[in-house]
Amino acid sequence: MQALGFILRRVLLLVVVLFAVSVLTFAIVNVLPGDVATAVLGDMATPDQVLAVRKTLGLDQPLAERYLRWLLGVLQGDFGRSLQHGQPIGPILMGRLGNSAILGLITLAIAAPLAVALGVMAALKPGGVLDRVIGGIAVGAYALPEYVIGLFGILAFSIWWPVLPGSSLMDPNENPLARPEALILPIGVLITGMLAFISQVTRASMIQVMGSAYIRTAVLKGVPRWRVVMKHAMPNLLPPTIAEIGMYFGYVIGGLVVVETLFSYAGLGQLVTNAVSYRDVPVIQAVVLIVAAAYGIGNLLADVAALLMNPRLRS
Amino acid sequence: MTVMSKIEPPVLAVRDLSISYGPLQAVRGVSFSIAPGEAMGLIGESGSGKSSVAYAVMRYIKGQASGEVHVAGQDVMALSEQALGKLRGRTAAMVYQDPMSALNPAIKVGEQIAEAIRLHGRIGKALAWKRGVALLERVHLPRPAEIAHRYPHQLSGGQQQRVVIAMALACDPQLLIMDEPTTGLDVTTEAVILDLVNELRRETGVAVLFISHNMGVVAQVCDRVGVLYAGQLIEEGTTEQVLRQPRHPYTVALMRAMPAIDGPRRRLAAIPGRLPDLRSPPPGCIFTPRCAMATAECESRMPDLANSSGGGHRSRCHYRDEVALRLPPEPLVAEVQLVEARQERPRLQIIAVSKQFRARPALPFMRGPAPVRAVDDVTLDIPPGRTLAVVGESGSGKSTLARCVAGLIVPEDGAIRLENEVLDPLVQKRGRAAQQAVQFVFQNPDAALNPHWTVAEIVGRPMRLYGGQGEGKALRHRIIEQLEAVKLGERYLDLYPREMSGGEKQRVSIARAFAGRPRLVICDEPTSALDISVQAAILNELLALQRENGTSYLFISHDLGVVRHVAHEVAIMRHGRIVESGPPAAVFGDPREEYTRNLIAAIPTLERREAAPALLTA
Amino acid sequence: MTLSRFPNLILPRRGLLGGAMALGGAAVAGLPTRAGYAQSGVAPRKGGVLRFCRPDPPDMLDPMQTNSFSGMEFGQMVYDNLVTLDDKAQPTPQLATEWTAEKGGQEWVVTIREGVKFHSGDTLTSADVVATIERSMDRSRAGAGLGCFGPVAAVSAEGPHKIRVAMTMPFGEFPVVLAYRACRILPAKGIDSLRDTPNGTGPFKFKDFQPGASITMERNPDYWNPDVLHLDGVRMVFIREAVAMQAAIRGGQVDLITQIPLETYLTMRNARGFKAYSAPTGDYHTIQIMANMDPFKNAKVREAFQYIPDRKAIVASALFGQGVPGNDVVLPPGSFYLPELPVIDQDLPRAKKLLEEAGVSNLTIDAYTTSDRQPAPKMILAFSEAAAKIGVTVRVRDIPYTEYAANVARKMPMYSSYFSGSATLYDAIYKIHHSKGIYNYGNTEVAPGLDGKLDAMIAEVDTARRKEIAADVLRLLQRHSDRMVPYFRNYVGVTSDKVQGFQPPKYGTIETRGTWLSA
Repeated sequence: MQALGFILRRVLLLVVVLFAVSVLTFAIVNVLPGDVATAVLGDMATPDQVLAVRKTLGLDQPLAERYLRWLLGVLQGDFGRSLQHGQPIGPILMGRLGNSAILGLITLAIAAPLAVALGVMAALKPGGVLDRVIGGIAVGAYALPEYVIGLFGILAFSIWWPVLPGSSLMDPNENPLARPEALILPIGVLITGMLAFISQVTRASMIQVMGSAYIRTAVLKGVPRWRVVMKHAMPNLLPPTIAEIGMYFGYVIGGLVVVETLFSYAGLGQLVTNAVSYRDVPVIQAVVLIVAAAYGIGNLLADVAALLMNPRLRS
Repeated sequence: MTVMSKIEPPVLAVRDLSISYGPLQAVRGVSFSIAPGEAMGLIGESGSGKSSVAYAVMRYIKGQASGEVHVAGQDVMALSEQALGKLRGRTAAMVYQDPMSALNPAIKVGEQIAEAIRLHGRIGKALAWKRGVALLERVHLPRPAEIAHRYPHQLSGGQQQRVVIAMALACDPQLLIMDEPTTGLDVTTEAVILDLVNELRRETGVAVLFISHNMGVVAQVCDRVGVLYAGQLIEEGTTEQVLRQPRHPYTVALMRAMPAIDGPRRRLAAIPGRLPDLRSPPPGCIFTPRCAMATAECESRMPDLANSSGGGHRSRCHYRDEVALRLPPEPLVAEVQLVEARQERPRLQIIAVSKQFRARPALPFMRGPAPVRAVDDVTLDIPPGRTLAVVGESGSGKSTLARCVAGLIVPEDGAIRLENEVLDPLVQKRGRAAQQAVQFVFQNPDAALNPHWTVAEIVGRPMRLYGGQGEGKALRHRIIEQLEAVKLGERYLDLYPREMSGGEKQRVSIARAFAGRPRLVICDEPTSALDISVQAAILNELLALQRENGTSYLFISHDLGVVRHVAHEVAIMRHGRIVESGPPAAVFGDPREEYTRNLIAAIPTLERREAAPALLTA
Repeated sequence: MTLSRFPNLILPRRGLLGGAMALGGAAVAGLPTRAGYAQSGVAPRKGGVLRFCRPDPPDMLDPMQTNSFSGMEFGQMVYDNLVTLDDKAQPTPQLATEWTAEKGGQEWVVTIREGVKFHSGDTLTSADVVATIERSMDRSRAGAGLGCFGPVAAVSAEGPHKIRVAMTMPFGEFPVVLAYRACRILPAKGIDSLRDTPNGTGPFKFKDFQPGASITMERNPDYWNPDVLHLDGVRMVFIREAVAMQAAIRGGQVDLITQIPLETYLTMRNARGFKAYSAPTGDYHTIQIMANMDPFKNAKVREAFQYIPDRKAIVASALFGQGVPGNDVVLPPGSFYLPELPVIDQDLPRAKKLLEEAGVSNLTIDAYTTSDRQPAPKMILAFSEAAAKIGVTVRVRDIPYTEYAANVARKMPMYSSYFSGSATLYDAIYKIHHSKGIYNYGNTEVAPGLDGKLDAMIAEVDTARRKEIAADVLRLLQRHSDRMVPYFRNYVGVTSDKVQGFQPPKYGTIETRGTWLSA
């Protein structure tokens, strides 16, 4: 089947991309001024101390050799040890990956359909009151970075009107679903950012779809309005929108980093901001690799979904 | 038929219909009716309001409408939304131009038909599907049960249009509204669709409102014809009456602007001027400014749509009975002898050119379809000052060939030789002289003209680029001269493309092409996006420019009538190969190949064809 | 130290923790009982877990190697020192019960408390203390704690509960050094794997570390001094964002936030249900003007720079008043060792004149600082603005801390740096100003004879005489130092009203002994 071949080729490409990503991250992190030794020891450290730490951590080895050793490890499923914490990275990652996934997936699960619904509603009467309200909010939310939205959320809902915990404050191995109230603000912030973009993209495509000749055909066939929207417009609206959402996956991940840090949510984002400030290369490598893989897979899934929903591409 | 229509109540009665879009009065006081089983054609050029009328019948209007529309006795303008939903698709159904976009790409065609049946017939899914399949069979689609499961993109244009027709027939409507149903289809496909429409009319007795700009097409289907101009019905009568003895100067001009495939070759009549401003239509006859026989009365008083002497033939002209006398026929065109031109060295030689296309896959990393031989070993040449027309249906490779000559596409094989010089396959690598020598006129002037440049800049650029035509005042003079050669004046100098009509833009394109004094101009369907009257003018100007400058044309077209009018030599192209070539008189008068014969037979002329030509499997 | 000298000192709005109580000091008994950790009156309630929130997680859990306050605070809960300091910064027993100087401070004998157990169950003996001190002398194993026990030459056990420490030179402050935050007593067994398996004698046992997120500790039921142990456990959590931190304490998810920006303190200090603390410390920022690099090799240029900043204005603008002006010596006002010194104030004409004398004109220099160490950039900026008035161009270069640590410290002529207060002259002055001191970044003897005076100061066992030498040293340093000390900052922190017995830390790390939670 053609679709299967397509998926296979894409998976292969993903592997190549991941390899490139790992080389790039390794290079970039090592080009940054300072390494884990200076980061851990601080400005008061003597050059002797720095050298000693570098030696114990193996940072005195040539770059290529360090990369190769890391790569061999990864191929055997061993991400190495955190330079900062001295602990194996695998277990550190597992709980956090799950937490981030929960945050990201809940966001997607709520925001994607909601955004599409809002976009469709706005598009049914372009220029109408609903459209203007949705559009206005969207522009505002899109213009503000998550960081600002998050701070505002904390101020509004946990300081001025304290109804929600302003901090999710949890351990990596804790199940975030056990405390749903702690999820509301972070998810709310992510959703706000996502709604803004996707609803407007959906609106634009929906207006285009509703203006197309086949919608006219349906109307003049005597199809009731709701059925025109649901049966005739939606199947044409969804594939490009889903692909669009797939492209947006990277934004969600970027948002996760900000939101997790802001809300002390124990996910990959929080881990990686820490790791970057400590130049904890193996942790950065592992997280970047996972994020790249998640982005690639998310994109692939969206493309496959769009592919399967679009008869033109399916055959 | 005419007798019956007087007894039975009409299926469609339009009374005093006016439609305006804001200040624009698109349709004014149009009245006509269609009897059961009758087919009425509405002819008009763009801006005539014919589509507005068609959609008003379904009350699908974006603007403001007044007047009355009765379909099968129901007052469409007064219906509730719900009742309107019942009328649409059941009592009256539509067939559209461009079936590809009229069909929902995401729904199986069987379902699109069955949906209409279920909606109006309240029957079960399985039964509706079965009926849908039966309808597909009814419109002569092969293996209908299988086709029902396909999506629109898996069907050819002709098949798609048959699906649209089947969908329209789903609930046995009393009225079928067909809006340019064959425009954009190949001529052979068009013939098949027209035959199908005629067959369905015979067998189901459905009444038809047929919208078209093509008189030949209307002649194939309609009993009666109305002619719309600038929102008014200016002539109405039987097909025979209107198309054979038109009683309105506009209709006359329209007929004379149509390049015919047969009969003596006459000069094409261009209608001067353009549509009046419909925001403030003149009080008198709306055609006055463009009419060759207008009088002071025409300017002051609007003529009624009244019967002329020949019974039931109405015309909105004060001199309706004198039209034929007052407008003598266009002069005949002298046939050029190609023989003497043959003696010279060809201006352009296309030598064994081949080009394959590997289509891009739908998504990156998907396998693309097998490569297509777009141009397959084509050898042709054009004498100086002569026109070679390459004719073919869509996908025949004619445009690819033109682009190879222009150096926009690099062929895998073969050579392009301009007089003594072999041209580099890529235009960027050609010398300035070679670039100057070969110019291009495209089908769509909108895409070809820089929207941010004025006409003076557009036309002046090649003059400056290739030099030798002066600077400053002298250059400006040259630009005006060039514009006058395409019937545009000094007042166009500072206009931008968006401020001009399609015909004017195409004239600017031509002026630009000739600005560098080329030796060869490639015209790729230069008139197919234009109205017939504008087309006539453009063709006339192309011919005049050729006579003056001795330019050679490589003329690409799908329209055999146009080709017959302009070409000194014709090459019929199919699947990338030249099927037949020779002077038009020979190719059209005595075609050697069956394909050519079928192509010619398929052309809708004013003569109604009785049976479907063989072979046509669109 | 009296209150009157700290007009800006803010004390908790309410609660029993009075300044006089905390600073006035209680009599010190042989054992550090609850009194040593303040609080009186109400009997402490037992139980509850203190949720302790700070911005950054520890760089590592090894209490000697760690370079972060986070790690040191952790160390203070899980480990004990040999001594702890009273309010006059004098040593009182913790794991040591007695200490005596021999050979004029060249050697020290310390008696170790009996019956103390590590969390692993092993009993504390002199071998553990010896192993700890030896590790601090080992360049490859000590980490940030290198040399933390002072100029030790050798250490040996004298029986299971007594050690003898031989110094490389007479060292009078040895007992005070023992309270230093790097000098936690480690177990000899597994001493080099404490990063992964913390094991101390302290009031709290390590339970769980979620890197980057939290550390959980539980009460050590066998703690040798149960009088100071009230809590069932401590949970350290890390929140980077100040606003999130504030939200967490306001939402009741944490009980205590520390190392907070001044802005948080200022907004929280009037909030209901919370106690906000602002108390003087020995923590200070410096402007390093490196005596081993141009243009500061010329002492006159250094002197000129001293007269550029308006210290009071900087305290007001950069610290919002939560601190005191510095006088270019490293001891805070009120310090026991501080002599009467001339007050250095902004004097631009004098600075200009000094520069002219030094033959320096049109001076342009980059001053490096990092926003990760607030409010240093504000201070540098204020300096730059003042300098501009006398034609000295100071370009402020604000760079990330990691880059700063790698490329600026010790390598650039002018940059801001941060020091936390120390109880000993050894840490506060000697290590920083002796040309061989590890924090003398330029390895320069800024004034002739300074090294000799510093050696004498450290060797002196007698406190009064030591104070005299110190005064001499400080006068010298004020005139010649290669660092300016524009201000000392206050400690600021916030707890919920439930937290009792909390004392603003004087030397950087928070003491949880004696802290309890009311119902």
